[in-house]
Amino acid sequence: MKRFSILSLLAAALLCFSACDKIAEDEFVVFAGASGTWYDSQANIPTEQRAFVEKYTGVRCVNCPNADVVLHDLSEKYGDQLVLAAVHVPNNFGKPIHGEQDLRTEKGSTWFNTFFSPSQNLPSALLNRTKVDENSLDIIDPQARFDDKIDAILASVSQVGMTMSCTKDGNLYNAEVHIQFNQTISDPLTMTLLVVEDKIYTTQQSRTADGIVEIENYEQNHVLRDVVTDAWGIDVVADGQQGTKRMILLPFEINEAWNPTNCHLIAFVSNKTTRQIINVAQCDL
Amino acid sequence: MKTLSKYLRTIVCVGLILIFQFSVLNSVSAQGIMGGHVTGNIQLDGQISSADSIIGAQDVPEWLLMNARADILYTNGGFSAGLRFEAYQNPMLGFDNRYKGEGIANYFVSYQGEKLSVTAGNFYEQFGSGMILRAYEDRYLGIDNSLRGLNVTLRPFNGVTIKALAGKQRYFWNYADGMVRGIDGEVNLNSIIRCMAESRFRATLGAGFVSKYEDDQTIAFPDNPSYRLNLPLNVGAGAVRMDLAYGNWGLQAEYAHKGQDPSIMNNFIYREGEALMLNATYSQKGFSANVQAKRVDNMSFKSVRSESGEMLYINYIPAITKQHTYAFLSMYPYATQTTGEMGLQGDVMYKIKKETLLGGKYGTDIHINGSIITGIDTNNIGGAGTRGYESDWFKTGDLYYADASLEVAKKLSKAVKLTCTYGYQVFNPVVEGHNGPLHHNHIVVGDLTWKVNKKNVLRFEAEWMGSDSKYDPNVDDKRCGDWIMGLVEYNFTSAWFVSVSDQYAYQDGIGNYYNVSVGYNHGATRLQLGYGKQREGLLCIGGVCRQVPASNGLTFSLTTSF
Repeated sequence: MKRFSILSLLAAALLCFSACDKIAEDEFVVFAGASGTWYDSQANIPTEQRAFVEKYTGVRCVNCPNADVVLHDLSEKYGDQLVLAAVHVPNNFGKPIHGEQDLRTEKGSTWFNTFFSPSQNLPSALLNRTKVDENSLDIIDPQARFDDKIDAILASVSQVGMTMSCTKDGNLYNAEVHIQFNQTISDPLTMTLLVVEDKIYTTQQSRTADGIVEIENYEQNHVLRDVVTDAWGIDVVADGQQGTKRMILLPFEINEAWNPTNCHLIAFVSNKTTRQIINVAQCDL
Repeated sequence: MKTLSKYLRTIVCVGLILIFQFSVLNSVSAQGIMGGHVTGNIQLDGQISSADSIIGAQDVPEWLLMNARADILYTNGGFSAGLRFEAYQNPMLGFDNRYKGEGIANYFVSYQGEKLSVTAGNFYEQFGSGMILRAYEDRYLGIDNSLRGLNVTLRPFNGVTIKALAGKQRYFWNYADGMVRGIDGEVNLNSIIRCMAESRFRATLGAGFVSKYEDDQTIAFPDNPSYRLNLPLNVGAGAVRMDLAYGNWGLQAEYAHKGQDPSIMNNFIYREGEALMLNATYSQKGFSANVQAKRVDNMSFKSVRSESGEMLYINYIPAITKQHTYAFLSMYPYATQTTGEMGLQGDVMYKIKKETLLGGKYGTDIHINGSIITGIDTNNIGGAGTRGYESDWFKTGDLYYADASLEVAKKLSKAVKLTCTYGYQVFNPVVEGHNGPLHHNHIVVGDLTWKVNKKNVLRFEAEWMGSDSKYDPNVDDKRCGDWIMGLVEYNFTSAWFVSVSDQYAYQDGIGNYYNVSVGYNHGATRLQLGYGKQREGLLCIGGVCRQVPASNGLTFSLTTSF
C-alpha cells in the first residue's frame, strides 16, 4: 500500500505539472487564416454530392504506399466526385528523412491530434469525417478499398451544393466559393479552405518482401500544404433556408517553395458541432 | 476517450455478471436475495397546467407533464452495482427540454474495501468544499453533473485519504466532450501523529488538483475575424484547505486557484481565477455562532467552454447566504455569482434558559442571521482575448444581496409553539441578469403550531412582505410589490395532511396564488396532490438556481422506497 501511495503522489505531481496550459499574453490571439464576408450569390451552383478523403500518412509510415495505390485507383474510378488530401502526421511517422522538406503542417497536426490518439496506426483515413456513433469517428484503413462507403455518400441527396474558382492578382490569390442550401439546415456550418500539392518528391519508407526499404524520389500527391482558413473553418453566415445561395471571397498567398501548377484548392462545408463534412469542391490554383 | 466509454461499459457488464454469479453461489446459503440486497426508491412527479394570462402561465400542449425516476441498488458485501432509470415524458415546466426521453441515465459497479474503493461507471464526488470539483445531482434543480469514468479512493494509513478520478460529465442524455481528471489528498494529523491523538486540537489538511481537457475550437477574435483565440486545451485548478478545531472553536479555510480558462462564462478572457472561503465557528450548550467570508474571482469552471447556464460545472462555489424556508423570505433567493463576488455572513443561535424572565417555562430560541454579498472591484482592461480586468483584492463592487433576519421561537404551552420572524432583504436584480433599482423588502412571519393530540397537528402561518419595488410590465418581475399570505395545514391520523394557502399581491404587484394540497404517508410511501398557482421565479438550492415558470393547475407526486 505504501507503494500505491508513492505512485499516487507521483501521479499527482505529474498531473499538476502537465495538465494545465499557460498561454503567454502576446499569444492570446493568433492568426486564424483567411476570412471574408459572405454575400448573396447569383451563381448557378451544382447540386452534385462529392466525397472528401483525408489520408493521414507519413514518410516513415511503411504501409502508407499501399494506401497511395488504393487511393489512386479510387481517384481514377470516381474522378472529380472524390477529393483527396494527404495529411502528414506530427509524430515520428511524419518526421522527414535525411533532412528533406517537412511535409507536416501545424493545422494538419491539429486535425490529427483532435481526431486520433497519438498511437494511431497508419495509414488511416476519414471519409467526410463521418461518425459511427455519437462519439466515434469512422476510421478507415485505406490499404483496402472502401468503395461501398464512397458510393453511399455519393448516392445521398446533397444538402449543400458547392462550386469554387480561383484567380490570381500579383502574388495574391482569390478563392471564390459559392454554396447553395439544397435543404433547410438549422445547425451552424463552417467552410474550410485548404491547399494541396501533387508531385512532391521525397524519400519514403516502405515495407517490401525484402523488408523495410527507403524509396528515393517517391511521388507524394494531394499533400496538405496549408489550411488557408482557420483549421476548423470560418462560419457560414446564412439563414440556412432551402434555396439560400451565399458566396465568399477569400484572399490568400502561397509559400514560394510550393509549385502553383501542382497545387489545388479544396473547400469543404461541415457541421460546426459534429465536424462532419457535408460537401466539398476543388479547383486548380 | 472514444474507447473509454466502451471499456467502462465492458467493466460494468463484467462486474454485474461477476456479482450476479457470486450472488447465485451465495444464494445456496440463502443469505438475503441471492446473497445480497436490493434496495431502491421511486419518484414520480406529474403536472397538468393551463394558461393563465395574469400570472403568465403558458398552455401545455402535452396536457400532462411527468418526471419519473427509479434508483435500484444491489449490494453484496463490499460490492455494489446500481442503475437509475429516468423518464421525462415530457419534462415538467422549468426543466430543460433536452431531458425529454427515457432510459438508463446512470449505472455503476463499485467495490468498497478497507483501504481501497473503486467505482466504474457514473459516480458523484467532491474535493473539499467543492471549489475545484463537485460532481453532484439535484433532482429538483434538474442538475446531474455525474462523471462517467473511474473513481479510486485509497486509504493507505489511518487518517490518510487519496482520491483519483477521470471521466466525462453527464449532459442530459449524452456526455460532454470535455474530459475531467482529478486527484485529492487529505490528512488527519491527529490520526498520523501519535502525540496529537488525544489532543483537544484537531487538524485536517487537504489539497486537490483538477484538470479538464477540451478539444480546440475556433473562437473568432471579435475585433478581427482573421484572428482567433489561442485556447488552453488543458485547464487546471488546485486547492488547499484546512479544518482546525480546538475545544468549542472551529476554523475551516480553503483557497482555490484556477488557470487560464477563457469561456463563454467569462467572455473568453484569460484572467486566472481564485476563490477563498473562511468559516469560523463557536458552539456550546445553548449557544452557537459562526462567521463566514468568501471572495470569488473568475471561478466558473466547466468542462465545456461554450456552455452557459447551470450545466457542466465541474466546481461548486458554496453559498453563504441563509437558505430560508418561509415563502416570502425565500422569494428572492441569491444565486452564486461564480464570475465574481465577495460575501460575509454571521449566524448566532441562542437558547434563553427555562424558568427565566424571557425564557418562560420552556425556554426561548433566538436565531439571528445576517449576510451581505457584493461584486468584486474590477478595472476593465479589455474584452475577449485579453486578461479582461484587474481587481483590487480588498475592494468591493456593487451590492448584490443583503439579508438580515431575527427568528424567535417559543413554546407557549405543551401543545402550542409560536415562531416569529422578521427579515430585511436588499436584492440587486443584476444578479439575475436584469437591470433596475435595488429591491428593499421587509418581511414578517408568524408560525403557530398546535399539537391537538398525539396524532393531530394544526399549523397556521401568516406572512407579510412590504417592498419598495413596483410591478413593471416591461421588466415583468412578478415578485414585486407588497404581499400577504396565509396558510393552514392540518396533519391528522399521522398519515394524512391537508393544507390551504394563498399569496396575494395587494399593492404595486400582480397575482393571487392559491394552493390546496393533500397528502398521504404510508410507511416509506408518500402521495401528494396539489392544485393551485405557482409564481414564476427562481428556485435556488445552495446558491445554484433554476428558473421556474408560472404554472396553473394540478400537481402530483409519488415517492416510495424499498
